[in-house]
Amino acid sequence: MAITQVPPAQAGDMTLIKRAAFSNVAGTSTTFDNTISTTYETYVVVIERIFSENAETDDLQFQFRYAGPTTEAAGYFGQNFGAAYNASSMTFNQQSNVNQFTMGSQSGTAAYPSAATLIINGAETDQERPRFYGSGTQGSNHLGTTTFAGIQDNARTYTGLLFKTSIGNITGEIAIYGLAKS
Amino acid sequence: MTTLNQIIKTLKEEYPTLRVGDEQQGYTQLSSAEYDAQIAEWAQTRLDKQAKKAEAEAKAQAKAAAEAKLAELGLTVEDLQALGL
Repeated sequence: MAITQVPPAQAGDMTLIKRAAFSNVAGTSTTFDNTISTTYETYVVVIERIFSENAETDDLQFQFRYAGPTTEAAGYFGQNFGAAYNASSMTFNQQSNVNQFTMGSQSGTAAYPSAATLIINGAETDQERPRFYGSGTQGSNHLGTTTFAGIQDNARTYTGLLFKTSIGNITGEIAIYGLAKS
Repeated sequence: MTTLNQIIKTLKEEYPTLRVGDEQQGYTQLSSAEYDAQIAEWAQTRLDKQAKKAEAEAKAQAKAAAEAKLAELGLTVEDLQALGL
């Protein structure tokens, strides 16, 4: 039987826009500004490693950024739910018009950090409301899953993202990729 | 319960300075105004979490007390459910 070689992936199918490492910061601030643009419609954010420098029970959160640059601090709707490794029921976290979106309730620690993938559509144009979804593993005493989805109810031309925990500093590495339109 | 000002004081002791940035671009310290705003935000979050935890604990205590009263009467939660309560 002839072996057919799989053609190589087209250059630019999935493009690394920015990867950054940060240590003991009060949120990522401007680090991921100018990562969202009309070049891409779909963004894959890989949170490779992240943890709170304050407490393992800090929430892992993100916010959109837009021209100014300004942090979008309202209009997040959605939910995350998850379970610790030894749980037999889910814990739900409803989010209705909150100031930031919480992806998980356990940021983890240096020894047991968290990781997640976040996918975003509709953020690059003010003609749509951004929608986002993803999942991850939560570190520290949780050692379990988190699944999340939501929308940003303010349709704007967003230009970046900000990551943080609910209280205290964070450390981690995050990479943002753009998916080619065709 | 701890007050907001007490939490702010504690956080300022834990975090005498705050910085932003990353390994590639370098780090910069927050200005005094930015620092105060960030500490105030964290303090409010911690206060809200404490209130939520206290509420959950109060509910759990009320449930345990109600179950103890039922037990004294020789009843269980299942007995109440059987009555449609």
